[in-house]
Amino acid sequence: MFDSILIANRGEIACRVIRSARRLGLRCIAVFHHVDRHAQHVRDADDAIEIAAASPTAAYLDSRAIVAAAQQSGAECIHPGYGFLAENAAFAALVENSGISFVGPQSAVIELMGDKVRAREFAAEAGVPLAPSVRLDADFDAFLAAAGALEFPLLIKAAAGGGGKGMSIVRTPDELRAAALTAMSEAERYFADGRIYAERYIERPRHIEVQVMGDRTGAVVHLGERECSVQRRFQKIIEESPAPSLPPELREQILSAAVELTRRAAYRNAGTVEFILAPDGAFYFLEMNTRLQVEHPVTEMVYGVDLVEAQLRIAAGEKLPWAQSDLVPRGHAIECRVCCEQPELDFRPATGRVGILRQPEGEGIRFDGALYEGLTVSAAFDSMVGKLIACGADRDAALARLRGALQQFVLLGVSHNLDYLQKILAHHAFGAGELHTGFVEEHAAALLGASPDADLQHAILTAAALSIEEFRDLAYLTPEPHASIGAWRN
Amino acid sequence: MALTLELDNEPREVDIASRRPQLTLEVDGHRCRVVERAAENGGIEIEVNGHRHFVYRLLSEDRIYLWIDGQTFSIGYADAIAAAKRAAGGDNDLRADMPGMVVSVHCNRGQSVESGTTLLVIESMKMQVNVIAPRSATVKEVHVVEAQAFERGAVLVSLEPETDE
Amino acid sequence: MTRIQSSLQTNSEEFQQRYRHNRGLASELHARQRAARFDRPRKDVERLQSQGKMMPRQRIEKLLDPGTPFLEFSTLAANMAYDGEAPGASCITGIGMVRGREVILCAHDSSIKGGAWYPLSVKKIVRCLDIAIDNHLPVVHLCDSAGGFLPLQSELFPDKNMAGRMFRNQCVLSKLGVKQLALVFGHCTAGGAYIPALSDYSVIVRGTGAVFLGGPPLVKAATGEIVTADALGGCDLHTQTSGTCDYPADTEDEAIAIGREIVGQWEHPQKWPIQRDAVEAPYYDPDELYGILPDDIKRGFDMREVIARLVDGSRFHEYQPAYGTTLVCGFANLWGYKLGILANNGVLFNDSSLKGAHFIELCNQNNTPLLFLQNITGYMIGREYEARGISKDGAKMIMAQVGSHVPKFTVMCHGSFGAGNYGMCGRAYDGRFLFSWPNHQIGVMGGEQAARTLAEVKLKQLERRGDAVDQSVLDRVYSETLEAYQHQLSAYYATSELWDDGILDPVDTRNALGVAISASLNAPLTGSGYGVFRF
Repeated sequence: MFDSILIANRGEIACRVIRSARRLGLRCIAVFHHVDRHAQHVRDADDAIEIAAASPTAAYLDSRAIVAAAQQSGAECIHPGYGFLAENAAFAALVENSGISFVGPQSAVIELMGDKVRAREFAAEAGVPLAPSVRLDADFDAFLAAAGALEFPLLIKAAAGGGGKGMSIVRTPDELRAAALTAMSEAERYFADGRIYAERYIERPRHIEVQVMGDRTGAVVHLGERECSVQRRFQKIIEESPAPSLPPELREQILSAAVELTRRAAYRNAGTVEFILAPDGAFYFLEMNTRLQVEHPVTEMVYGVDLVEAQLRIAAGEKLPWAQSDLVPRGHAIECRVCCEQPELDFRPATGRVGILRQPEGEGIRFDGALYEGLTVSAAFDSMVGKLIACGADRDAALARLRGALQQFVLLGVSHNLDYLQKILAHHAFGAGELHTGFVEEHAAALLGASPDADLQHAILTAAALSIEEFRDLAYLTPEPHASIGAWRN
Repeated sequence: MALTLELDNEPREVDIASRRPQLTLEVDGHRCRVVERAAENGGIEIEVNGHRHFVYRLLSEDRIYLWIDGQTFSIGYADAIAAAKRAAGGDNDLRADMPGMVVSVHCNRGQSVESGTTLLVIESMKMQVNVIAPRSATVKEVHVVEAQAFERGAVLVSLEPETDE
Repeated sequence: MTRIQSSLQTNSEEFQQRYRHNRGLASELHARQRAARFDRPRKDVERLQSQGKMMPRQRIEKLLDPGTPFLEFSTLAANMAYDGEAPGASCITGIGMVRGREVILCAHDSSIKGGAWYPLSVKKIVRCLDIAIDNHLPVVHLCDSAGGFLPLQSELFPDKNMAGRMFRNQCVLSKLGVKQLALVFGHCTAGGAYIPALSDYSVIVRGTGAVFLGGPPLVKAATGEIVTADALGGCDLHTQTSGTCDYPADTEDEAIAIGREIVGQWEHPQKWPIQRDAVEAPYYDPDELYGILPDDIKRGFDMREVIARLVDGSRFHEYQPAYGTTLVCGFANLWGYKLGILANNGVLFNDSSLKGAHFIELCNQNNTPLLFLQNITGYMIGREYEARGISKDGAKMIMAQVGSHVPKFTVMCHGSFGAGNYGMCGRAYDGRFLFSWPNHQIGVMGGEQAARTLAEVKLKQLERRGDAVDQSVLDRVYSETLEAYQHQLSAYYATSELWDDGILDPVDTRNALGVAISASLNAPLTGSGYGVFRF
């Protein structure tokens, strides 16, 4: 096992990695940009190194500075978390070439799966079902013709994209040319790679993904599937394990396809294979994420494992800690992503200072966050500030526990989506497991709006008024006999 | 003068009707009998017309953040003078209170500025002073340029009137 | 303290008849007050609206703390003067609470002839400032006046207690360390300019507020200069250039908000620590007061029944219960404050005068404020009583009363005739507040007595001249005298002339006194010591 680790990330995932690393006795080194100097992950680490950069995110994307920080601090390994450099093949190579272990898959595999077109080809070779698609080669018009021949609606994606970014839906043939041109220029701008491809867009699909892990011997296990259908603009909001109401044979097919793909790639460390499940039961490969995912806690709670610990062991050269037969799922877990945003203003990110915080706790409740009272939430980073996970003997129990935990969660000082999450979980369709990626759009009206009833409004306004000192003084400090005589006129 | 709060972008009035035998407020004309008790964990139990609620509240500059029985609300408020000013349309012209000279200009027409942003730096009586935006606003007009001299009372920058969003 | 045992028969014919009568008087009072407060010619209301001004009472209601009392003085001042052209004497005065502090409010009523000051307006304002001085109450002036009503200038300008006295009082208040705030909503012209100038803090509304020793017409007449009111003495001139006013406000709402914030800066007053016990509502229903008071000014009633319906728990500790029984003396609590009460149950005899003087001394010894409940036709007259020294004994009671250092409050419950008014702390005797009930009458003697006396005088005159005695002449003297007296005896005449601080509905007396006593505690107790008692 390593004796030290540098976490090339921030926020809740950095804190989460530090938690497991510390348990294993590793010295933890954090990196941070100036705006994050008071962040929880900096406080949690044993050492912290500031990285100067033009912008806050640039600091966490500065491969050379991060590697230099690792060398300076003597870190034996680097965990990239998710996002930032986690799926940057060049970074992984740089780390390894610097004599530091990269806690993740091989650079070549990252590169393979990072190229969505190559990844699809590889998946096809592995026998994994794919949605019919058309790739853009040199001939733009040929691409348009072939794409136009697919069944509409189509999804246009950037080959170098991922994580839901750089995608757009084209519903009619006449939109195709303009959408394709826009997608190409966006891909160029965001991913420095203008390649796009078009796929049949499945309506009301479910997003099903499989947690996989491989080691240096080529052994591969899966840790079940997760359902992540409740999304907004391709960003996941709610994830759970196992996927509700999945026929056992279909589940087996999906899991086998994922394992086969992982084995063929000689994949090392943790990864997730993502699929689209159509209403008719057909499933198609979406992409493989070569990193630890945001929603990994639901898998951990159902399988009773620590995935970060497993990642560290594998990166240290150990074999997989479990055989497939050791991995028996129990119960159900559901996670919701807590974000500082304003749902009523189209989910615009919110900033502010955390004034009051009461994080829920209790049996079967887990909160992975990086919040504390006094922390300033800035606009520089992603709006997600934590994940609330609950598990139970079955889905209903997990759901009830999660809803109870959300009801207890107090966060004041910055706008958040806790109330919005409560509405999703309270919706009868969610309780019934009627999930698909258009869930929030379909139930948009029910999920927003609904002003509090008159009694609650009166309570809100009363409580608010009495928090103002001048009003409080008027209410409570009016002297006698005037307070008792009241609003009398002669 | 009743207290004006803003909930869901609507102005709401809260006033005190009586204090004995029980504090009774008037919220938009509705009588609300109130009892407040401190509760555990820094929260407050507030009973309004017999209904009990568990509340946390946080006062920030112009908003009251309220958690009540699992839901979160943000209520806008302004002290009485600011509220009266806003109701009347407020003073949108930033004037010089001493004669002086413009050292540098940091804004232009149509620009959106946050409250506290420095719009100009001026020098008066051998002292440099930042002219800052009194509220978040759009700059309507910048009336001066760098190195321009001005008299006391001169309008330096005009802001677009505040609108209710 | 023992509870008064009431022997009032609420089912009796007498009670029911008196109850109907006094309820009628109370209804009439409320109707006349409502008219004086709110009935205004359409054009005056529209004029204020077109100027962007609030009605003066709206300003007061916004200024005051919500859910708190406002004790208004002399609502019916000038109700029998100036052909009724100046209801309330064109101003609103009283005690209210602003940011938890008791203040005197003095508002010009610009909904009446632009708020111009009639002679009685000046008298009412001087009176409210006298109250401020006596009780050390801060003052908020709500200024909006066209200035003195010129046709009556000789009655409001030159004399000692006329217009100049307002500004003299402001200076005395300031010298006493009592704060003043002026909210300038309209014009402060001529002498009126001194109101904000002599106030510690002033707020002025842009566009409508103006302060000038001479207004535009006067300036044009004097020097030929043509200038607008705003340019001559408006908000920007006085808040930026002259420094006469402190805070500019764009609207009346803003001015009031600033005013409240200013008062919120003032330190809380140190009140002298009067003994205060737990409050108890009267055991007997104050509504029964209507059934106690006779409809005939010559008829008496037992003041203990009145006291029982004013004081806490109807509890009363009577002093010298067996001696001087025509003057009821004793201690009671009212809104928790301990008071010494003197109340008339008949004419004052030697013994009741001595008892009154002694009781007043006891109250001064105990720092207990005095409440005088008047129903007095005078002292007992006749040779026997003069021989016993009734004049000396009456004098001793007056001497004790005037030498008091405790606050004194007077309520005219029924008649107040002749010298009895004096010992019982009538208007001339510096009581902090004096209120009357609608059934009250006041005069040097009763109407019938005066009419009889003058008819008698006329008869004597005719007999001396040897003229024939024409009964119709005597009858005319009698009826004209009676009519004149009736006119001038009534509570409405008295309140019109500001001989009191307002008529109260009897059931409002408890609250009025509660507010008044609390206000009186703001002034420290000083000046103990009596003159010479002629024994």
